[in-house]
Amino acid sequence: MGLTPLKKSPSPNKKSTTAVIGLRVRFELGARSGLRRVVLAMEKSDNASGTTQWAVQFQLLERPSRVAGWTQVADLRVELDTRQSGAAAAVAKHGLSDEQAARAMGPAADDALAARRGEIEVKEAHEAVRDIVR
Amino acid sequence: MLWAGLAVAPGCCACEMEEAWRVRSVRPRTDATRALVGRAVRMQEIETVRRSFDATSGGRVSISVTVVQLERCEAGEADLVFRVFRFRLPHAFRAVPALDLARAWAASGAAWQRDWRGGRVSTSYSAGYGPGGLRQSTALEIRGGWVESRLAAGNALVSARVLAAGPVLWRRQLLPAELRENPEFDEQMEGALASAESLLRLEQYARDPAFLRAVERLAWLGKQPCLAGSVLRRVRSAERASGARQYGLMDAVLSAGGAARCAGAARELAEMRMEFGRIDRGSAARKARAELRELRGMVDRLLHHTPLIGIRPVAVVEAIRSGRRTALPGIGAGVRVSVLNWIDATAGFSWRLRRRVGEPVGTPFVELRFRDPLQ
Repeated sequence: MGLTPLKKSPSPNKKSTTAVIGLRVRFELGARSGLRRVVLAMEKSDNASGTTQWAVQFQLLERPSRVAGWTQVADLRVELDTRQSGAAAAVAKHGLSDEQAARAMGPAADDALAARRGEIEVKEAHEAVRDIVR
Repeated sequence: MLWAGLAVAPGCCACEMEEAWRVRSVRPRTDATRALVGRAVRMQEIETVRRSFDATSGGRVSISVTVVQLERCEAGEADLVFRVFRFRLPHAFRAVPALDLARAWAASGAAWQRDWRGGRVSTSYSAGYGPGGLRQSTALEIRGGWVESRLAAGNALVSARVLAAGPVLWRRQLLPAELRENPEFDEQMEGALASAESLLRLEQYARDPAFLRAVERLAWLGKQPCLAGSVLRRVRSAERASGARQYGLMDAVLSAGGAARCAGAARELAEMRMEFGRIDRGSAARKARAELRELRGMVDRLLHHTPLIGIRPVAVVEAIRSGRRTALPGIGAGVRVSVLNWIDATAGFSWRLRRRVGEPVGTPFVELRFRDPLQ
């Protein structure tokens, strides 16, 4: 009686499940002049209590000419209100709408610059960033 | 410079490159070397010679390698030996009677070549005058997705070839499997493209005549102290801005409630809102979509259809007619390796279905092409 060949047992982990515990979507909006760039990163994280928290990182970069290097003018990180979670998820999935892109390029960038110059409070600049995902 | 090889020739460390130029005795091995002696051999000229071969061999790839050796080296004197190796693929060896480098060299001096390309069709013509008379060749090539046809004629040679490429047998995708299999990746790419389209739309809005009319009112509005502080700051920023940024700031100004505390400014803001409403958004959206259409296609091709490396079989059917002799048909097979849809390297072997006495069974073929990877 010969030895029976060993059969490969099916791997118990063949069907693995994955859980997304974090998500980061980054949008870069460049002005046609090539002198200003807005970077908008949306970050999703699930905290221990099971609630989803979205944060927006907003960066403004400028340069004096097209051949010069970029200078970071502002870098703001804003935690979004949990009521904005739905809107934030939609932005991460479908991209920025016209209004959201306009708010990012216009008021949010302008306020970030003004806060850096001390013309307005940083809190106001944060509010403008939060408003992007309204 | 090919002559740089002279300085590092083994067993001749004492010879400088400068010395090599002042050679006194030259031992020519072939007729071709005589044509080269005393000339500065530059790669560019070697290339010209190669192209001349190409033209006369019906477009087949020909490679010529010139090896320069110093066989004897004494003070200020050296024996220079040129060895010219020519790798002429398929029919060039038979069809072009004894191409000697000297004649080709002379002919290349007056060579003229022109290419025309239009979509899938390309043509080329080259002509040169040398001791052997006028040499000219013309080629027509039609490239489809899978089939490439080429008809070339030059002096006494006419060749026709149809090359069919089979499906990809093995490929390595540009995009890693983890990303290809992740459904979120496509969504995120689409989201990024949608954002880009939004931004382009804003740029188009900012060029609309109605928007520009609204912008003209900013200068007056920026001098009105009755505007709310944050609105006045945005108005002044908008005046200095342009494009999407200007549109964004204008939009913020016009949507701010209770911005003006005086009738004049309120009236001006109302006029601006009316102009804002007259922006032809449909036309702007069409222009933005059109501007992004090519980019969308390019991203799709790069991420989903472009292989990093793809290997596919090829089959060749060809016929060569030299002088008044009957055309010699041949069939061949080979392999094509494509890198990023940019480089196509094809190699194979072509068998003669009918041969004349003393002719080989067939000949190998090698081809290297560069394409636009984003087409």
